[in-house]
Amino acid sequence: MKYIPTIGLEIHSELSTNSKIFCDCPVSFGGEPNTRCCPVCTGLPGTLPVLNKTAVEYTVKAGLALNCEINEFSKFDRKNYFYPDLPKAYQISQFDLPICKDGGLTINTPNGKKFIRIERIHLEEDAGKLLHDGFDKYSLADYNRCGVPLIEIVTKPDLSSSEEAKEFVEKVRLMLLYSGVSDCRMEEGSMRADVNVSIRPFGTDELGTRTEMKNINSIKAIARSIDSEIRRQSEQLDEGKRIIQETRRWDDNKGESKSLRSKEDAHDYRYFPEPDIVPVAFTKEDIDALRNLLPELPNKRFEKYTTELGLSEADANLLISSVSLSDFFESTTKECGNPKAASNFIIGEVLRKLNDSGLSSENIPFGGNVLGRLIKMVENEEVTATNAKKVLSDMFDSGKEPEDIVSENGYKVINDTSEVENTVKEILSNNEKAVLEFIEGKEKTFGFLMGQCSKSLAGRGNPKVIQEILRNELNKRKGDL
Amino acid sequence: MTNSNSNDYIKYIASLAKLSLNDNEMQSLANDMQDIIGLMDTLKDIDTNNIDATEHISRVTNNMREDISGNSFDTQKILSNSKHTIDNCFAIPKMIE
Amino acid sequence: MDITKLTIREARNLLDTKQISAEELTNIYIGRIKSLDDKIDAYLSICEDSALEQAKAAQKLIDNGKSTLLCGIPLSIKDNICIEGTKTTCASKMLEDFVAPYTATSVNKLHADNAVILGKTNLDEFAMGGSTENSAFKKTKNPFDLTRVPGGSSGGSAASVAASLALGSLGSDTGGSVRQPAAFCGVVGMKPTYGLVSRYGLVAFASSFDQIGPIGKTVEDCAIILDSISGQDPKDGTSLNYKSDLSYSSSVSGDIKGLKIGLPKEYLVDGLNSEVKTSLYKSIETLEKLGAKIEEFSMPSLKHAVQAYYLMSSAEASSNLSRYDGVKYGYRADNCKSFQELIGKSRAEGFGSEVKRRILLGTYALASGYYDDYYKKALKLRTLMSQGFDQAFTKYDIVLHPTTPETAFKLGQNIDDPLTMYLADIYTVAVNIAGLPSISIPCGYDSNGLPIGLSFTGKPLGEKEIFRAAGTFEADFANKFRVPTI
Repeated sequence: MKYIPTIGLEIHSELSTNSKIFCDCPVSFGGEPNTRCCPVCTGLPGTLPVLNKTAVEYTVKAGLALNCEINEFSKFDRKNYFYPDLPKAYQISQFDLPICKDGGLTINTPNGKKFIRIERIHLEEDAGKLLHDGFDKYSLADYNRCGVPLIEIVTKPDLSSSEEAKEFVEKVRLMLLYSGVSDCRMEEGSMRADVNVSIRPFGTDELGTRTEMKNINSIKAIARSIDSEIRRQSEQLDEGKRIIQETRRWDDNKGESKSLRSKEDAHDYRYFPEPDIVPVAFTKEDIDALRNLLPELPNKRFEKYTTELGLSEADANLLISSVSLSDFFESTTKECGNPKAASNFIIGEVLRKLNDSGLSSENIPFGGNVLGRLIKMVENEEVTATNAKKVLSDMFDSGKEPEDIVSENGYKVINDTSEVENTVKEILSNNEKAVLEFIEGKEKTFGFLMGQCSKSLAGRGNPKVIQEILRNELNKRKGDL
Repeated sequence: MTNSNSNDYIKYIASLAKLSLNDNEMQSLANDMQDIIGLMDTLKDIDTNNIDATEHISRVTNNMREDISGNSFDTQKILSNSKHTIDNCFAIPKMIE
Repeated sequence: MDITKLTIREARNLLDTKQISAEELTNIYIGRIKSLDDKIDAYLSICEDSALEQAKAAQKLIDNGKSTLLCGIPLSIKDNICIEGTKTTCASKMLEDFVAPYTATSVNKLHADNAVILGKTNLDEFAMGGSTENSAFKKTKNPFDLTRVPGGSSGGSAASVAASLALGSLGSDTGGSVRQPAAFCGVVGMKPTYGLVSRYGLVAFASSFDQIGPIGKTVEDCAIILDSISGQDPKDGTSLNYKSDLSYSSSVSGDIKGLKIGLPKEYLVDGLNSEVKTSLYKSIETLEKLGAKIEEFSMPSLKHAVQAYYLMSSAEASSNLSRYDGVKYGYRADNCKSFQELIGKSRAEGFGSEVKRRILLGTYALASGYYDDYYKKALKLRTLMSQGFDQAFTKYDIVLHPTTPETAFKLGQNIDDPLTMYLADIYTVAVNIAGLPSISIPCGYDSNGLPIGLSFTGKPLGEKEIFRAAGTFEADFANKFRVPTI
């Protein structure tokens, strides 16, 4: 490779608080323009911001989940610039004393594990939205989003490829979901990233000039934009041209970026301490209390599932993909004592049912302990695996307990051999041809006959028992000949 | 700073502050600013090396509110003072992003 | 009843003893405004209908024996304080048509105490100035001499009280804007400790300096208003969680024997007018006669108070005024083809010269490359001054000083001389820098009959001490107190 890419990310995530960061307007996606606003978030004269305590706590939780240090003393600053989506013409953000600093996450690369450092996480307010379609001569400003609390996660330039960036963002997203601080719905814009890319010739140390692409709102687009920019910069350098430090606009539909040179020169944001918000101070006790509110984080669970519970990495990854699914798996396992069975059942059946019915793992209509009981029934050979799938489906649809479904449908496995014997004998007498074929040596017909017996027993037959009796009967007939 | 340099600098400051001043006003304000900044410059020689900056005059921390959402403010009231609204939005000349 | 000498306390008595009804009282003031305000130009707008409604409601409470101190008392409000449904112009073309969609907390508190709001008073544009000449609409005159300024920026408020066009007023004080016009107009004005009164609804000039303060004929009247408007506000994150155990209005009189008063040497500068100086020393004699001990002390950081104040307040103002871009409210320039053009023109056309000077100074102080030498430097001086006052208050209960270096100057005299205007703030700005409470009361009149003001400054939350000292002095001065003849 001729050039070494260096990538840094600034990930913005909207916090899922009830109210905005500086006023009590409700926070939710969408809505008719300017229906979730008030004098404070629209910057009317004489209004003042008052800080949302939960937004601060969520920022600390996010920081702890991302292995950051929490600054004992933290303050807000004004970032001054003019833009129509910014009603006060300044954004209340954090400049030199952010809430969190010096954290990071480990990702897996082809060359092994790599720690990506997070320089800081700060809390700020989101801006409004500008609408440009619809009118020739005008653009329209909607301030519903103004004042939604936003955390900005800034990495050090430790990433080296689009794959690394993709994995990093996915991991960050998972951590934020587990912390319960954001719903991270990139397609709704509640999570987006600014991407900084530079390249340098192989063998040199000094980082190249970097460019920035802002507001990229899907993980695929983050990866694509990185690859495209590395390519573009490589071509530039190959042609002997210099890279211009600039902001570029990534167009995911076209798969290309355009220079925003029409935008103003480097802003002088004239940062100064926000006089309307007094500083925030945390004690060790405050931070510990928030740490205790975090659930066990995905990386710990992954470790546990793979090393202690013996699951495959692929299965573990699926199970940790959401905190509710992971919790569900753990309570299932607690009940039935068999993590592999629980994992198979959940991945095989539960996930499929969720997909089909459009539900999410937060909406499973029964607890993991209930599923655990069903699995125990299968292990105790009280229900066949086949019927268990039907029971599960019924549990979703009817909300009934598995024990009730089993007895109502007569799924209880027949261990009583006389009924099985009679059925087997009946099947054999109705399938002379198959019996002869088996005796002649066609083992395959055994399977056919098994199927017939099972079907006739409406799946209630204990397969082991059927098998044993069928073999016996067949052997008898063989012996008769 | 020579006069023309300071004029250029005031022009830059006026553009940062988004004040589109005409030439007469620019000149007059630039003259005022020279005097005013001259007065401010008398602070330069005061020794403040070991002094912390006061960033908040009231010496309290952690004055926050609970995360309870209230009712939305009437949209029409929010828009009522704007000279140009369309479809419940504030209208500005078309922007190309 | 001599309306020109009426105080809130006396009006309360007249109302409660049914010698006058609330409606009658309000109508007297409305009548005076209609006949006299064209000479004074204190008011920008009158709320006659709503005032009479409020008076009627107040009367019901009086009739039921449920009146509070401010019930039925007619007040004026500076026009940078929002009252829902009223024009709140800040005396600027930029907000000429702005109708506030909400009410400031301090006014809501007055409403809760059933005060009557007569109208909105004139000010220097966006509260920036010391003469009210920077108003875009009219120039308020000093009731003592109609050729002179009433002071600023709360000139309309002070003039309305001095001319008995209101029984009291709410002004705002960022660098002296309540106290200086009170001094020029021969009335009482005070600035509370920073954070004691909510700023919600006060159009921001300099966020860490602004405070709403009462203006009245007497110290007690100011204390009565302060009792109503003070208190923590959940809508203002800088408002203090403090409730005084005693009401301010009950703290106005008392003994000042043994009270230790400090007089900063640095304030006895050349620019101090000789008649003001004489009045100061006479007042010191009076205070000593009343039992206080006055001593000079040195606080070197005071020498730089004006520069530090203008740097910090202009920096905050430049940011606070950035929201005026013509998009959401306010003046919008015509025929603008782009957003840049729209905001640049709207702001250039909507703001007056003094506002532009402050915005330029503030932007400069915060600009990259200048921040450390200007803004940050001023913040460090703020620390020095706060420390200096902390030190002083270990030795003294009160710091005493003249309110202004001169008496009211002629209209037009300083309008083209911003530096002279700035330097005249020398006595008032340090109080805002340190967030202290301070009250200005009349202590004499110069040879032109113009009022001279004396300031009592206290430590943070030291309102009761300054009310007591000022109230005791005032009682002694009472027979010398003058009202203007208009």
